Amino acid sequence: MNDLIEFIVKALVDDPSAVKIKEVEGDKTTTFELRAAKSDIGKIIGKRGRTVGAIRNILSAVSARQGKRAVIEIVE
Amino acid sequence: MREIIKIGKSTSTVIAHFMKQNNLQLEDFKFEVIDEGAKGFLGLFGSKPTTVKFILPDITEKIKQYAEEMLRLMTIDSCGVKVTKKKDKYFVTLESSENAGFIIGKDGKMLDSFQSLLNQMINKQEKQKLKINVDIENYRNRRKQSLLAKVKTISGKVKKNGKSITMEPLTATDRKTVHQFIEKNSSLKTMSVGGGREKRVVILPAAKK
Repeated sequence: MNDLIEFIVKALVDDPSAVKIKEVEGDKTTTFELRAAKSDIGKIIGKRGRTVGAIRNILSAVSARQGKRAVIEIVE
Repeated sequence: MREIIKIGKSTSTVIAHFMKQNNLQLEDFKFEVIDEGAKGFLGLFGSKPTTVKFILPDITEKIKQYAEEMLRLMTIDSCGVKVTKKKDKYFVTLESSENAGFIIGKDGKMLDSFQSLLNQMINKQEKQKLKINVDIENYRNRRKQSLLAKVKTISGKVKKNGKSITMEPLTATDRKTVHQFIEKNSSLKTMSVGGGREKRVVILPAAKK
């Protein structure tokens, strides 16, 4: 799952080397903390949160199929 | 740029075969004849095949790579990816009967998310605005047909009662389909209300002259 987020996000930003994802395992839910260059945050979120919404959509569908729950959080 | 070298009997047969094999138009690629070959004496001996080098723009290939990688990371196995170009639009056709339902998602949400991300990723990499359409098992067309069927029923009601009807919130593409369909009908017109995800289409009787 980490790889999926990384692949998508790195393709969207100007500075892929600044993209860092930390996986925080919870009881039922896994949280993916996403860090990126300040100027790239907007690109990841997208207009009205559309881009991050699409990433969340795919992420939750894929994890639901594996019986897990996953959320993505953008950390500044 | 991607270069492919093919060998065959004559330049024209090599090109024709290559186009057919890759579903290409003449304007989609450039080619260079490296070795013209030789017909040989009476076509019997000393004949040499022609060598042609094809130079392809790598956008179609790139789209395919990205789509395949995304699917692999989404743990969707055995999903075929075909990319074709029509005018300025790229069409990605996914082929996976067992995973189709999952890839489409509820109301096509998953397919739309996949499409929108693929568009943004490719546009970012290519630094230009390309349009990529993703489809699986003809879903886009099926959806359009069922939407139009709904619009027809609503249109009938609007005509009969002379009162406007507001449809449920639709995506931009779906709204466009509705607007274009109603435009052909002179006794009706459309309007949009609301904004963002709550934007709806209203079908109303055209003002009588």
